[in-house]
Amino acid sequence: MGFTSMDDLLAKISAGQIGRIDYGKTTTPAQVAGYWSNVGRWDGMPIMSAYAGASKTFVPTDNTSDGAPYTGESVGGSPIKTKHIINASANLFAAAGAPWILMCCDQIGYVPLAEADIESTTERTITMTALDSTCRYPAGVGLRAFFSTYTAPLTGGPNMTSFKYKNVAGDSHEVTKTINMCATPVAGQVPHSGNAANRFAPFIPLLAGDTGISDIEAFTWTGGTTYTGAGAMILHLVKPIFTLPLPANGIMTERDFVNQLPSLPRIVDGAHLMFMLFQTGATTTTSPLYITMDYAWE
Amino acid sequence: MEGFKSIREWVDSTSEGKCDIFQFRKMAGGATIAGQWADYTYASGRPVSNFYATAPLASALIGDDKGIYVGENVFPLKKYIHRLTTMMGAGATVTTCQNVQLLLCDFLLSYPFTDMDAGGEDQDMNVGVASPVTLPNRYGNSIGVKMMLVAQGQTIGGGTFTITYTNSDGTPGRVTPLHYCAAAQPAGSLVQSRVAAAGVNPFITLQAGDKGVQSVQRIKYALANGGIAAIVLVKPLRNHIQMEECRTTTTSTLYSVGSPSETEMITSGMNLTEIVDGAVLGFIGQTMAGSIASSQLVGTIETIWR
Repeated sequence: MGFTSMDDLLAKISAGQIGRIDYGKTTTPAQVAGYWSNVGRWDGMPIMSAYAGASKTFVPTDNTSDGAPYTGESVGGSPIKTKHIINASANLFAAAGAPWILMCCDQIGYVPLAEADIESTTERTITMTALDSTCRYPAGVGLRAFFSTYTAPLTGGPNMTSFKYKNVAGDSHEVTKTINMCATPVAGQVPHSGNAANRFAPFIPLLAGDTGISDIEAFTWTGGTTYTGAGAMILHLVKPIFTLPLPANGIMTERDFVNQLPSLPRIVDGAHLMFMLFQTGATTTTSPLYITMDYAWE
Repeated sequence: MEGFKSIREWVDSTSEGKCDIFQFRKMAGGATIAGQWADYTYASGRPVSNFYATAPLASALIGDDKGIYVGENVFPLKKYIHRLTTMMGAGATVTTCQNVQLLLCDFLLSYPFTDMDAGGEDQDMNVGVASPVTLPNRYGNSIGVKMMLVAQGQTIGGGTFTITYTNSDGTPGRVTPLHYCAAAQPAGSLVQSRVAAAGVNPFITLQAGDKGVQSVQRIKYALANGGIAAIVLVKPLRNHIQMEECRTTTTSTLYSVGSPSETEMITSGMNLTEIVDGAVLGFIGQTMAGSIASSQLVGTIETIWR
């Protein structure tokens, strides 16, 4: 159950229980100032996720799903052994857009949303089997949801007036706070982030006291201006793992999770690591983002 | 037992003389584009330049004289990097070369002289070679082995390519997604870009699900690019950042004090980078401003073993 001392960590690493993740993406298209983006929508290394599946149906993801970087083999065992990120670094070479915030998440799954479902003004019911104790985060504890754009709609910017989910206790809850979706978000953009009233970023707020999501039930986008055109969205369910500030263009930021910020974020067996990026300014298209991490296991 | 079991043993190795220090100096020749990557082993200096000058389209090991010398093998012990220190220095009038990200790699295998003018043609590797050179088995498998496309002369740009390879599971016929070639690049530059002729990532994107590369079967430039390039297989080991170069000048705006970039492996990132016996160490680098050709890269690698 985790490393017991610095000696123990050193011994494990020395014995070869260390791995490395290299992750590179290129912004496409230019990303919008003040918004978060789903980095997994951009192409690079690993290859971009296609977010395949039937609209409004939850698709579970793990370390073998497309878009997931290789994070070593499962460590598992009984008593359980664990794997942890020991350091992370990232830089973004872009003519504009700094500063940025990079967030690493474990994506539990996603819900593809086809054009008809992002243009509808009635409640959209999600097909999903509630997460239980076998989930990487039992009963969805710590999980958060957000929408991102897969294909940009032409016009519009609706309001979400209802977001229904089950909390970790299995109770159905509804967020009725008005959450505005921005006009014509570009591919990758999180439409409910941004610099305007009734925006929430990066995640959809939960009701007071709730600590996670075990089931996404439904949402309603009504009011505002309905999206038009052949747009498509993705509703993600993720567990935030760590954040990394990127203060300026081309400045490699390093974070040491052992000495500098002792936290040793855990990579749960089967984790589908993905990243979100917040851009203070508009981020130039075709800007390379490079992320690297080292992990160790007991 | 090989390796370290405690911080105490780490200190003891130093006291017992199981440590050493080595130095390198590289001076890139061609002007690179800011934000893109280049292969420092191609540069002159110490160790000598690595031009991948072996038989065209035949797999070849990278000679150990091309890698940074870090002492003799220590088997059955294990050797690690203890400290890594780099500095960059430039003349008075050159453009700035700041915030260079360095990636230390073990250079494993190359397939040199692919013809970037041969648009639409399959260029098969090891044709007629009775016993092709295979990937060194320094790591027990090829998980984490990456491909790069290194320009071996000035390129023109505008090309696209795919590479067919065998993955780390031994499955042949795997095909990379279509890659673009960056705009005109000098020798030693990394060419590959996944999205457009810009935004070069350090490594070539593999087919979905693949974890590494064992060997290469062919490359096909769907659109001719102009130039020649080597497919190079590397194992990335650790990254290192050189923030500022040292430069004296009569123009105050170009003055830069410079600073050494030092990493001690226990207290900085807890990344105990092992140097396996036989490793051919070299850097690739990404400059964030100016060109790597404007500045010398010098540094030391201190090793420790047990």
